[in-house]
Amino acid sequence: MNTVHFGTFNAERFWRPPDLAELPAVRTGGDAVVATMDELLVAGCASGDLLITRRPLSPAVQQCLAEAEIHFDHRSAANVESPGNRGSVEGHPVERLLLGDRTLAAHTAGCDQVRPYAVLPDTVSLLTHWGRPRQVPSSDVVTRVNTKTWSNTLLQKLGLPGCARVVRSVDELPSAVRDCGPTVVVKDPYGVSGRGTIRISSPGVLRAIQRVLRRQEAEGRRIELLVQPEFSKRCDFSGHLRLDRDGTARFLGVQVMVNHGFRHVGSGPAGPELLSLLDRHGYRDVLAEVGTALAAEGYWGPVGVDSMLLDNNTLLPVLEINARSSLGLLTLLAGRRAAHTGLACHLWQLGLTVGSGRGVEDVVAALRKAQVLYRGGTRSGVLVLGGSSLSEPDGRMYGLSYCVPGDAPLWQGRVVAAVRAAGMRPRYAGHAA
Amino acid sequence: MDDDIEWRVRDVLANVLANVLGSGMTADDISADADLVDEYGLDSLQMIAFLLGIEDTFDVELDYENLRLDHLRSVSEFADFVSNLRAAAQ
Repeated sequence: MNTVHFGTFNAERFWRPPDLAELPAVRTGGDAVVATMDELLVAGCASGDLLITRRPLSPAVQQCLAEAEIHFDHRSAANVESPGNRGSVEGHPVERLLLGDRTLAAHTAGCDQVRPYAVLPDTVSLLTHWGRPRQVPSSDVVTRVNTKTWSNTLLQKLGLPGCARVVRSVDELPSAVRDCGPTVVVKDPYGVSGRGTIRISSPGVLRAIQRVLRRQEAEGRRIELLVQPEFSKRCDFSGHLRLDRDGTARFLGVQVMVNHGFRHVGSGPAGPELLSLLDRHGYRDVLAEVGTALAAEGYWGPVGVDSMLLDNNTLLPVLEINARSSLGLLTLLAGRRAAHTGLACHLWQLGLTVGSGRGVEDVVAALRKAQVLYRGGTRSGVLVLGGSSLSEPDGRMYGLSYCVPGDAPLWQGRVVAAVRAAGMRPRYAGHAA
Repeated sequence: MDDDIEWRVRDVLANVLANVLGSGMTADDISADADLVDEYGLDSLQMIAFLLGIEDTFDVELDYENLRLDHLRSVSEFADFVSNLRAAAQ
């Protein structure tokens, strides 16, 4: 059974209705990083699978993957013109670009199944073009079940803790904030990994948010926001399922997530203590109920449920439902593939400042020189995933650590030391502890 | 340029870094000329927290739609920017 892997990682941007008002935000670039995150899909590739990415993979990274005994067929959308699309190609879903590749339908015909990262309207168009029109659920269904509002309604229906208050006008915001206080977060229904989440820490911040929203409300844009207390958490984690087309839910596992602020920076396997606590709380039963609700809406495919354990040991089993693939799921799949080695698999990311003419090849060379690259088998090491967008002045790259459980911070430290020794400056690093 | 404004900008940044990254930095630890993104690793999420803090502290309004951060990369550049905003508002 071989599979085609491709997809757009900022799916929420394309699911978001254009008439929805937006929280204050700044544009700091980063489009190239997100656009090339499809290179992380290699983590879920098995031998014989086809990976299609937006940009060509770096030869240095491909060599790393081969040395780690990860073999797959690869194509990229490089140099594919997508007719009728203006602006930077990085602003488009990769599926839209792939529509312009006349050879790809034939190339994918021999594969048994497709695994897009997320289902967008463009995904449905592409699969129809490939003669696979009904291999993913309807994009309308996927768009609906991926809103935080839908997750929140399900939470209320199931009587679970952690419900947010949904606000549909600027005037409702102050009372919602007051009721949820003292420290409150306000979330966009399509926010992801912290984008579209703001901590309201003072009356002045609330006033600034109201001012930005009121201007949009006056232009006729719709307000839909979720307001909830900022929880005092012990850890973030996610539960993963795969929903079959007939509604059968298969539990895949639990990943612990490391967040800086509200932003995901790494993930790794849950330890026995957490798994035992989740068993006592009937966590898997809750996930099964989520699966049933999604199936009733007409969804099938990968599901990641973001969850939280609070400082006082209260479990919030459902904070948000992602009806798509996720970084947690990709890490989990990579870990499964390495299960026979006895090593744990952790996803990490590294923000780097790099000089002129330097890129991911230099990172790979630095890690090779430090003798920390993973070579397959039972010896610990790190693997670089993608990173084709890394260039002057700064960027972000991802990797996996294969190591003895508990050693992830040690390997993260070795990565940082290796790139520093090679003259590159790490700005931040994240791993699953 | 008003030293008091620069110090308060540093204080806002220190608070953001403390909230987001759990760092123990104070305003005294922050360099006026260090690059916010390069040196302190501010991403878009932390940047918005910083900007909202600036609005709250100085009672100024920022135009998020048209805000360009290319030339607002250090504490001292931000302090100049805030001084000009306040002067324009008077």
